[in-house]
Amino acid sequence: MASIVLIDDDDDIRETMADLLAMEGHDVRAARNGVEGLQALDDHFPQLVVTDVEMPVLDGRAMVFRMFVENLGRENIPVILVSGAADLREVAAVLGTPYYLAKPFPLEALNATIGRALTEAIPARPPSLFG
Amino acid sequence: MQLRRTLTEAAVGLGVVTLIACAALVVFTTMLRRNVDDVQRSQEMARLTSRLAHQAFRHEIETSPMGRAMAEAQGRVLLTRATGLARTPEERRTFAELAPLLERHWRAPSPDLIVALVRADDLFAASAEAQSGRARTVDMLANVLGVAIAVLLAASVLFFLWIVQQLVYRPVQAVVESVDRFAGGDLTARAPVGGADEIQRIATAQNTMADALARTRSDQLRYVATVVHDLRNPLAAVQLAAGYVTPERPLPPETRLREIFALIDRQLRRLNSLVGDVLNAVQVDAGELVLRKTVCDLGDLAEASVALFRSMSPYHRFALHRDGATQLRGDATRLEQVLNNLVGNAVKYSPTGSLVQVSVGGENDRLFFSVADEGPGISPDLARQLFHPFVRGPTEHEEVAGIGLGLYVSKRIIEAHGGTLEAFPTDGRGATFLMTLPRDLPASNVEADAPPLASAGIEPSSA
Repeated sequence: MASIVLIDDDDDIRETMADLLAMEGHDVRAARNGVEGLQALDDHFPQLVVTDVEMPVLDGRAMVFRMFVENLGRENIPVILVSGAADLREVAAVLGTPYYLAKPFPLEALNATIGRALTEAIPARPPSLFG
Repeated sequence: MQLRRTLTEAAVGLGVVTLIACAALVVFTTMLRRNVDDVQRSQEMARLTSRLAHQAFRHEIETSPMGRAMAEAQGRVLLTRATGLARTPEERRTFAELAPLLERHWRAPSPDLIVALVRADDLFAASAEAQSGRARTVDMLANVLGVAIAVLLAASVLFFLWIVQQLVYRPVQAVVESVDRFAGGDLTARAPVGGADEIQRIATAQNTMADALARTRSDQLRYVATVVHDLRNPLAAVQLAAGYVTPERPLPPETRLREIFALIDRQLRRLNSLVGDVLNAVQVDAGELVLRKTVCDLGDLAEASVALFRSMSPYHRFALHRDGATQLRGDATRLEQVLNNLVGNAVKYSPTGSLVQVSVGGENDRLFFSVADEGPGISPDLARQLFHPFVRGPTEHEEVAGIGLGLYVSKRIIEAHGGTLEAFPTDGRGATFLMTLPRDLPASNVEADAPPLASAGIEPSSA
């Protein structure tokens, strides 16, 4: 179906999500933090990024910003934010992505959001970088 | 402006104005009184002089020696009375001139006397008239001054009331309004700092309190947001796991199902532990930390804790060192919770294969317990905040379960035991936590009663 890079620091969540998405037919690469996520993007150049926000080493916000600043074509990949943060909607607005999913969520919600993001393919556009 | 000083100054001012008014009244009434006296005296002198003229005339026209003698005698009496009334040098001179004229007149009538008498009469009448005029002037002045003093007093009172309004009433009203708005839910309401110094202090105190309450509230909101965020991760894992069993797909193989249920069990335990942490912290915050004191052995508790983590983390190396008698009176359950938190932190924040060193010992009436790990250590900055709620150390690579409440609760528990819990900043060279406890628990915060150490057969001296 689609190639997806999945980034979450929680082992159980990351492995379960990766497994379920693979069962849905996606080609999933998993990473544990922003640095590993950027590495996976370089290696695979996926159609979609699904990332947590609060992570050690490099968090989701910083990682999405780095996708732009480094300007290697990764800025055109749509990003889905998945997080339990209370201000997830604000984080999504800051990063300029229309796709976000508040934890906890059922598998169907994840599938629906992934389907929408793959169809529309609107990349994240942080208003602070794009005026 | 100081309220006390201002009110004192205003009261002194009013007092001075009143005193001046009273003094002016006394002065003017005395002046009036003297004037009236002078007018009466002048009038009396004029009357006596005219009667003297009458007696002089009678003496002149009286034919009998007896009648002349009577007129002379009455004239002398009148002259004496009139002379006695004389005050001014002019009056005295007038009578001094009249006296020899009268003497001459009584021996041989002379027209000079009548002329002198008429002149004296005129003089006294004119004097009375002048005195009376002066009295009217003084009266008018007194009236004007009285009105002026009344106006001044009224103005002073109004000024005083204005000062009270500006310095006290309005600022107090403003403080009350801000308190009402704050109580009504407007957490940005602050009292304007104005008016007298004392009122300004009230406003400042109110604002400080409002700041503290607003900060507490924002802290609580942050607290709830953090708790919610940390509870959502295990919930998310469990809900995702439920996604394995759907009507559209066959069930996963048994080995995978076992893994999934192990995951669900693990995440539910984590959820339960987080809820327990939050409840603990809430109890500690609400001052509801009640210790059930029993006689226990800190060394045994440390051994149990090390054994627990040795089984949970077989890739860490553990070293336990015991020294001296470690019995104490304390809440064994709470102490076990603290030891598990400290040893658990050492395991969580240090790499696999590294050494966790636990030392426990007793000396006289103090016990100590320390944990040293080979993790990233604690920066001096972090050491200062480490015991605050939701503060967590940096993690290198893996998810460290927890919500940042463990050390906060542990420190409160140890402090309730009368002990201390400190972290030693050792940047990059592992972390060390040192806990000290008194052998006997202080009386406060204790629920059930246990026998004191001596009667329980425990010697509080080192072995």
